Amino acid sequence: MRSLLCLLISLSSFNLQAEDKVVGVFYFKPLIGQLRQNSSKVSPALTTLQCGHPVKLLESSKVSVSPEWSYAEVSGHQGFILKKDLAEQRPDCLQSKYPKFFDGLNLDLSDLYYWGRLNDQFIEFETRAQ
Amino acid sequence: MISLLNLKLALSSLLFLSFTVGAQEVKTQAEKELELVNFQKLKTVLSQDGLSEAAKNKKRQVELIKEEKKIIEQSKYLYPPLEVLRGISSEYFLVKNAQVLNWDFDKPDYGIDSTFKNLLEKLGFIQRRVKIIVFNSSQFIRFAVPGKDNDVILGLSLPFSKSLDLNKMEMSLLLLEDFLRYDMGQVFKQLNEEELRKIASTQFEEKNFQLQPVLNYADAERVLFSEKGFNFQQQFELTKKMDILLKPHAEIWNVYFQLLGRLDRMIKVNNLYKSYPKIYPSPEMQIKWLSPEERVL
Repeated sequence: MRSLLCLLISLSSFNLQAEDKVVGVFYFKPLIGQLRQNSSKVSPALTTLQCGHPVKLLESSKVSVSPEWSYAEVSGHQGFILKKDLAEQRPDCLQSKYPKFFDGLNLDLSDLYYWGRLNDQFIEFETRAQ
Repeated sequence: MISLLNLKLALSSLLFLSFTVGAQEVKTQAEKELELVNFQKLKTVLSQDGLSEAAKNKKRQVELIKEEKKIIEQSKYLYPPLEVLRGISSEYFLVKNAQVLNWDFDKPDYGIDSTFKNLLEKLGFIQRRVKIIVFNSSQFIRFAVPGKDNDVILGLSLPFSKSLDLNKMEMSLLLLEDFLRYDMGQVFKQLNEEELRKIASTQFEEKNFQLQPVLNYADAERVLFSEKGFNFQQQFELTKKMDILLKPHAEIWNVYFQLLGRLDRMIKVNNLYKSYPKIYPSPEMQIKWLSPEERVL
């Protein structure tokens, strides 16, 4: 009975993933960021990603997303990422321009975690002529 | 009998001749083979075919690729330019002080981005990139630090804003003060950039990599906005700049003037912000500098 239940659960999760359709591959723009569990800036992180990391954009009938967020897959995790952080072309990343300097920053797990969260906490804009 | 002997002689000479001819043919083949390993001849053939030139070109290409590879390898060991180093240091300051600043919390949309953006545009600050971070701490009140994407990062304390019961315009006016402080170079003047300037855009060897200038800059930012602050001269210049910018917009100028009054009263009674006049001296003086001179009739 227990194994049957397990089988049913795994089948249902397979069905959920099978419904996800890849609609494009984009690249992550900020220095460090996170794929989030929910479409919220304070939602827990599923994984941390760095600039230039490929992100598969997904479409699913079971997942509805607000206009500023995207439903995406990174390294086997399905979650949410801000649209403004994605680029169609591979961006010019600090990590690839100055790789040894970036390595030299010696960021530990805690630094990576907070650096990933920082990006989403910024309210950003650029002024234009009125 | 003689004729038979003659015939035998003729036959043997014929055989000898044919043997000699055969021997000559073998030699020719050997010579041909020798020609193949005769490099002098080969060189001539190659030069006639243009292969020698192609080989030279290939060699040149290989040398070029080697040179480019060397440049690429060297470029990996470069410090970023000063603007990027400043920005990285600022983000490092925010990351290392994440728990003190407490910026990672669920905040409602205060709408300060649109109000502040409109204010900047109204005052003529065009094509300026701004990042705002609202933090939930009273250990820092406000800050303006350089960003790495040719922008400025402005920070504002939520408990401080709540203590003053600030509206969007008042928050924007405080952010404007910090924006101007940054724009007028006061922030850079207070942060010692010597170390960062020395390493900016220079090459380093793996063993001699220096992270300390970045760490020092990040720490200088922490000290500046939590302890050291700005001097009276800088604050006077800033207040005058605010006065000039806001004068044509009487309504906003008035909001600013009233805000300084409230700020002055609050810091005099709220112990949590008693260090405020030490960092930003001082709202009381700012009010005096802004007030019209009294004329004795």
